[in-house]
Amino acid sequence: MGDGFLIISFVVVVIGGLGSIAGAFWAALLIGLIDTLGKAYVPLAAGTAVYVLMAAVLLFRPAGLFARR
Amino acid sequence: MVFASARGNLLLAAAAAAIACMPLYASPYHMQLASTAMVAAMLALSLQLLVGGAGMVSLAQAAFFGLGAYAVHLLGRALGGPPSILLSLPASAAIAAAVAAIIGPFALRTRGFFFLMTTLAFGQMLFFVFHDTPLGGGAMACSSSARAWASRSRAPSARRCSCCSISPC
Repeated sequence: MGDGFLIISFVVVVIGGLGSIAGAFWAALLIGLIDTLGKAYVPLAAGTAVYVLMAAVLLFRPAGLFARR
Repeated sequence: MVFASARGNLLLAAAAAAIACMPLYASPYHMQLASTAMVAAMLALSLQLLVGGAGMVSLAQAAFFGLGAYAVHLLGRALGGPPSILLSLPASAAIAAAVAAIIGPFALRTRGFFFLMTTLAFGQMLFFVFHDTPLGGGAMACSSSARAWASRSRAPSARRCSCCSISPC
């Protein structure tokens, strides 16, 4: 059912901010880079990195990086 | 769970007694099936406490469930065999509670949809910690240790053993 894509898309939308197209765009690039760089340089923590970022964003900017005020 | 009627309580007690006595009359296949069903029922009950009781829909519940399972697995690896249930039961609960004490304060800062997403993040984090690092030993480590223990306990008292050392891996 495409779970892998589905969950990571959720993460992108949440980090970018719900309802923000630009946010989804930049968050997608950010997540892609973090995931790939993590796999290249810190293989052990690669799976966790994306979710650590998401937890940090949710805790410090709960509405997402590009939330409309 | 308590029913309003005495008859309901009696039925419930009879069902509990029938399940508790299963090693006396059931085949290994049915024991395995019932064990799996009861392990799944534990997860459902814990979710009922959180969602039904506290009204918090959490996606990290399975992570704590798995944490308990991995506690038994790692304890067994450290001791070189299936740990006694007197040791593994409090240990797995304590480890899951300790991790929840770290995750909880963060997750509880958020509400609604964001609570859902925060718990998803922590759940996925725990999944990858056990899936990718030597701590959990990959996707199949847990079931392989369960198999090794099962083959070791094929002694005359295997039936008693199998019901004392049920590991939810």
